[in-house]
Amino acid sequence: MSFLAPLYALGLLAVAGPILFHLIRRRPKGEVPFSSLMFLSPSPPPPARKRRIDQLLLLLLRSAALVLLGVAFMRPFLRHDAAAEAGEAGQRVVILIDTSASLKRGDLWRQAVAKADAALAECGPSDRVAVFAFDRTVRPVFGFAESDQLEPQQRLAIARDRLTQLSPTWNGTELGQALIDAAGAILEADTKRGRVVLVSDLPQGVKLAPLTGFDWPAEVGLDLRVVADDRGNAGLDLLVDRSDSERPGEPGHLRVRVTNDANSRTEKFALAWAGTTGADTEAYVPPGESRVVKVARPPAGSTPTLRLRGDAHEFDNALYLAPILREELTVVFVGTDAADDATGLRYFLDRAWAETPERKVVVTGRKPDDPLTWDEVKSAPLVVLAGDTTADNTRTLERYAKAGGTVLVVLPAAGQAVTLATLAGVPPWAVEEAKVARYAMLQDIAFDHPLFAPLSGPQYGDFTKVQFWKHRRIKDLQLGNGRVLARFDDGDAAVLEKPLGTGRLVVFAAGWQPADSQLARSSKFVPLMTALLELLGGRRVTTTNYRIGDRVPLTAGTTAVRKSDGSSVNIARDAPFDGTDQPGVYTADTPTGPKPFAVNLDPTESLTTPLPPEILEQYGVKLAKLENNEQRREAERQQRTAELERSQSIWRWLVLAAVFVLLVETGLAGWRTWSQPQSGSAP
Amino acid sequence: MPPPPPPQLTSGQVPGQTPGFMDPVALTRVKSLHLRARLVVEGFDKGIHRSPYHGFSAEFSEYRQYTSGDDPRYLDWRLFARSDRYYIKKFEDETNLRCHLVVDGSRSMGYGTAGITKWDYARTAAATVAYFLSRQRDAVGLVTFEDRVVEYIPPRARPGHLAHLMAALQREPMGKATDLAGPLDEVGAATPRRGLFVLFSDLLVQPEAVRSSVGNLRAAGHDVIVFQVLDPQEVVFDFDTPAMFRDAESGRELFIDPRSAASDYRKRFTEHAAKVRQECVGVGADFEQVTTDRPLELVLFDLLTIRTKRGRVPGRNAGAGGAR
Repeated sequence: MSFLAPLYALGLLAVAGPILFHLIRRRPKGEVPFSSLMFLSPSPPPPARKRRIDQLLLLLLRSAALVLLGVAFMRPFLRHDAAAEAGEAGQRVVILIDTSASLKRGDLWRQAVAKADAALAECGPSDRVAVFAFDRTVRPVFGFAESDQLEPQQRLAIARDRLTQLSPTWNGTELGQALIDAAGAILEADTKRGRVVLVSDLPQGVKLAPLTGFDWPAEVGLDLRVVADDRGNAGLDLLVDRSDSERPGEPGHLRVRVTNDANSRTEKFALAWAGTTGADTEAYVPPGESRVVKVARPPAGSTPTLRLRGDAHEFDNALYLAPILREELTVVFVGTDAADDATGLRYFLDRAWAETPERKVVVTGRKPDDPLTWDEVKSAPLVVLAGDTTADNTRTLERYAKAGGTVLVVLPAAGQAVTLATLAGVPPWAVEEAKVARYAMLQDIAFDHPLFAPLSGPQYGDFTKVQFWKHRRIKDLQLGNGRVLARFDDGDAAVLEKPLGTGRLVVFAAGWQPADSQLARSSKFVPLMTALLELLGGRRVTTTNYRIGDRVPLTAGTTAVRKSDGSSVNIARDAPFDGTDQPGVYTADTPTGPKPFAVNLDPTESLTTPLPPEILEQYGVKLAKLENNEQRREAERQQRTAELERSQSIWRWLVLAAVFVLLVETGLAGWRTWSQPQSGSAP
Repeated sequence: MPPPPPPQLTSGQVPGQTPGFMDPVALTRVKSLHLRARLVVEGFDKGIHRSPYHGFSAEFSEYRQYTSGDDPRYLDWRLFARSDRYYIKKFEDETNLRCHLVVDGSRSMGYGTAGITKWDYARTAAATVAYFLSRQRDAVGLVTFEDRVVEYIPPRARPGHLAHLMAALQREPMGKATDLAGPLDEVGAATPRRGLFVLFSDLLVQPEAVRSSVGNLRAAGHDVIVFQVLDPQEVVFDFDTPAMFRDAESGRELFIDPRSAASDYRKRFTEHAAKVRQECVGVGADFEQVTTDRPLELVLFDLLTIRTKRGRVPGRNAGAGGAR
């Protein structure tokens, strides 16, 4: 039993009151006024023992009430084992050390380790300590579970050892999530109290957004240990829209943003391609500002690296670039339509795939009767067949489809569908023209299919403006096991797909030209055609510029990725690459050859001006104010004690007991009074 | 004159429990003494209204038989014509009774266990007698005393005198001890004319003191009726818890265990009461012991009974019979 306000024990002296009164008042309690004592003789006094016993009960009750009240005022609480342990263990301390790239500046990392070490040393033997490292993610370096099993000295040594094994990474700073995780680790404990010691350079670029949705617990304080380097820093960032400046064959430039710290002492910087002797590009960036600088394109050939000169810290002064890999695709169109016939299918097909830096699509036309060779189609991602073709061509197409190609058959008019039937492996039948009242629309669209998946969003999935004036009728089972990907609203199939070998046969029951429908003029046409291209081999990976920690999608069939430091990572089938942990140019080994991609530092890491701690408070984080360790410990101990006492609230029961005792005392005294005969009243 | 019978019980009253009379405790709830007295007297009237007797009229008669030496001017010739006897028509003030109500206001009178103190009972009884007498235009005076005379109001029969008297009784006494002799001698000396003294006191004094004081009054020719007003507890003394008993007058305290002291008390008390009675009767005074639970109407009745008996005393009212 412990007491929150032991000074109230002085109140227990009040017990002396009733004892004193009982001692003083030795004569019988009841005094009976009587008219005259002239006929009365004094009786011998009653036995003292009996009188004492009678009074003793009342005395005990009165003393008990006073003692109970006094003890209640002393605010007692039970420091039972678990509570004592929690109380003595005090609090959980999470030392959260920043290992982001900005710690690579100067001796910041050494400072950080020293401060973390000091924080460890400050922890009392009863504190439960954990060390978390964080940058883009939070990594427990020395967890509570491990910490709790060790002796305090052992714990300190191991935690220090683990600290020395850490080193700053190239990752960005996700401080918000790290703080949430650290607070969560504290709240998982029974005590639910503690503090987070944050050792960081607290750059302006830290990401605090997750804190906006987090209610910072009042029981957890944040103890800031900021490391600082006053030399300032400048950084580089490639502006993403390279398409304008990187068109192949055109002389252009790259746009690079140079940022300079507010406390930087340098204003003039130079940008130059590594390994070249060309003139540097001057950049004048006042402290605290940023400038977009146009840099001449790098010399062709080697993978270029743009370097920033004039900055005190090297960690963010390199910008890696990977050359854009341009794909040239050939789509074969078999049909009668001329390339310049604006009423035909081919005319719109030519314009469906606009040329981009990453891709160029060429449509080659073949008349239905022209012979189609295997070499012509084997590398084509798509063959479009409008109507019928010869039996030889049909066999070529069938072979192409079974080898993984996509054959799109458009039924331009009613009649015998010989080629389609042959390709689908069903008997030929006469395709009828559907009777469309005014127009037909698409419904029952299979948005889960790769063909329509790009349009599956609610803002894109509205096909009501795509009206079909006429279409051909295909019954569901006429193609065998084909899947209907879309229907007209009169119930006929509009788009069907039938797998052929590793490839597929896609049938459009109506053309996209204006005579048949509005499809070619709708916003759905280009995504549909692009999706058709990507049905073979999936979507091409064209992005070549990533940041540290980004997940890099890889072209299907990629077997390994070679990092900038020469190490190689094997890639599981169709898995993305998650190992972008250092800046540089990586190379993915794809089926079509090595494809480089660049990984650069998060540009926010270059914003190294320390963040005012008030910003954290604006996010609701409770900063620990007490600097004096002893004061803090004392305050925490008192707070723990007060919380324990409040949670137990023994004083309430004591007050209740006192009231009960007083009631009993009153009842007993009253009963004794009433049990005596009614005495006369005094005049 | 025959003594008046006890008040007749009205229908619904149970004999033995004095129903129909005002409970003294209930009566104390009436603040005004005048009203209390009226209630008692009216209750008394109610009880006796069917009686053919109308009190002790010999004492208060307007007629007295002619004796030699009387002034023949006051002879009532009409009565002589009816009765062939000579009667003298007396002046009213001469025929009226001069009654002194003497009420003990000492501190011992403040004792009471039955919801009413002896003082309250005594002054209500005195007020009742005063009201009753003043209704008959008798002169009533008041003496309240403790160890000395506190209040002395000479007997008067004027209108308004009763109110004056009631107001005096209304005052609470502040007295301490009882001293009968001094006050009674003092009043007796101040009252040269013969009259009636009605004393209400607990008489918790030495019987000799009663004898001397009452005897002095009797010697002066006054009629004296002594009502010893007692609390029932004083008579029975049935306390059962040992306690400190405090004397109301002296403040002296004694530890008393009633279980051992009661019998002795009762014995001594009874002896004292008998002695007092004996002393009173011995000097020719009338003595009546009343307890505070006795209906006040009965006190009035006792008074009238005593007076009636007194009226029969030979030599005093000889030849008074047939006056009405």
